[in-house]
Amino acid sequence: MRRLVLAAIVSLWPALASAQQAEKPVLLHAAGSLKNALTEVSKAFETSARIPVTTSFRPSGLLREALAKGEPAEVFASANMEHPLALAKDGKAGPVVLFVRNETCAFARPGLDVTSNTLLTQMLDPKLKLGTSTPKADPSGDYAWQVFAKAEALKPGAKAALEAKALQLVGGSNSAPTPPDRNGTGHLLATGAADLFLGYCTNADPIAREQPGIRMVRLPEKLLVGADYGLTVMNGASPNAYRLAMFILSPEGQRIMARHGFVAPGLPREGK
Amino acid sequence: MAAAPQPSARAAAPVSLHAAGSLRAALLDIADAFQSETGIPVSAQFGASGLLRDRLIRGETGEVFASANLEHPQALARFGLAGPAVLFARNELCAFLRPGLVATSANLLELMLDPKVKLGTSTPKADPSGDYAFAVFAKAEAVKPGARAALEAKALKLTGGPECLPAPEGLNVYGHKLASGEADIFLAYCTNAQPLAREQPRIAMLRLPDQLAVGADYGLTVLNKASPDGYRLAMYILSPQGQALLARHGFVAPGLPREG
Repeated sequence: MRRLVLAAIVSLWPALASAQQAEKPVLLHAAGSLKNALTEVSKAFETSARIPVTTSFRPSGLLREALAKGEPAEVFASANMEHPLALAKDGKAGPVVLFVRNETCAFARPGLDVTSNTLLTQMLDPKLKLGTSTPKADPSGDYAWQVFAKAEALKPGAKAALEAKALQLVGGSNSAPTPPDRNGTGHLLATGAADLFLGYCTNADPIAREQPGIRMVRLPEKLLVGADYGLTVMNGASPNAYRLAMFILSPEGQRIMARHGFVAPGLPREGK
Repeated sequence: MAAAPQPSARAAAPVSLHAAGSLRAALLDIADAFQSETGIPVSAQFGASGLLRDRLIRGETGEVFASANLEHPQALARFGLAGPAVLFARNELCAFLRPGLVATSANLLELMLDPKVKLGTSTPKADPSGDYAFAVFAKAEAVKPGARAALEAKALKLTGGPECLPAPEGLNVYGHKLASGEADIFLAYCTNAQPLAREQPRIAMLRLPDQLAVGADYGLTVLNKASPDGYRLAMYILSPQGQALLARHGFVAPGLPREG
């Protein structure tokens, strides 16, 4: 009991100190690939709007299922447009807005020599382990499969071969978890679970910090697959939730997203 | 799409929308689409963004404010009247020429400086379109020293100000000013090209040369006292449906998904 009282006093303290009414936190559900960027955006929002944010990062497909089943939620930021659009079609959410783009890149384990030109040949090499995320559960996996479909046009038979050999190492409900505070892609390549991994280009920053031996390779033009990320606000959300959505879309939020490697369409032109 | 609105939505109070005059055609289309999809009607009023900002700051009731710049909605946010401002469309400034006047991007500046040529702009401060025209003048200074002061002195501020004469109902105001001879060249948004092509097909549009090009970032905000429907309208303007309609009216729409 005493602990409860203490907790209440402690939680009230900042509100008392700033003479602000204690605000209910806004709920933000977001794709795992948004974790670093949206954690920073949420902090900036908390500072400027004085509204706390409670975040939950999971693969987008799993989030959509959870939200469709009624898990309490307000803002949903997905690694594709389809999942939030599905919630909107079911009458559970409002209009869906494209708020950032991400591209798929290839990451190579330390010591493996790869260029954009040799990438497809090496992806097909039976001696090399090719990692991806899990299609359907995680849009990153879907995008890897789109890369395979595009490869078919360059080399007949490539699609089936790549789909057959791809190791779905993350993003599924049964995937082995990544050690906390580690980049999943970097961890898999460093431990030898994969030689090549198709993941978001936005992994480049954390990987460069954690595993400097891993190199990032841009996909050749013909294999290029980009992800449009969609944001929606669930019906019944608080006005503060809409404010968070608008903040993510505002130049301040977009600048943070860009710093994390996303293409941010809502950035004003230079010189402003 | 004649989707039957939900019974509860049919009685919805209209969402109020204050928007820049240059957005009229595009946002009326978006308001129609929004109403047919959600059953929520929109009550829109259009005017020069700076004047709308002043009215909202003075306490006029409003929910969504769509401005021809980012600064005005950001000012409402700073005053504690509105939430974060979001860039939702881009526009550019073009030169429109009265029937019979011939110019190219190469000799446009010379013509603008010609004392015999009447140069029309909108009104700075009241209307961002006027601010952008004056930004063009500032850029002209680098091309030709002295150009800025000369252009500022000769510019006729024919639109956007509280005392400017409006165009006859239903007519594009720039087309009207050029056709009536009040201006020979008018600096206005490139998105006027569509209505002008219909109303005054002999008026030519000229893109500004690179050294003079000035672009406009349009910003949107939701006022603090807005209803959830107000926020929904804002999100709808930002959604691919809203963005596609803005693009059809000649705006650059940053929130369009990639093709395919």
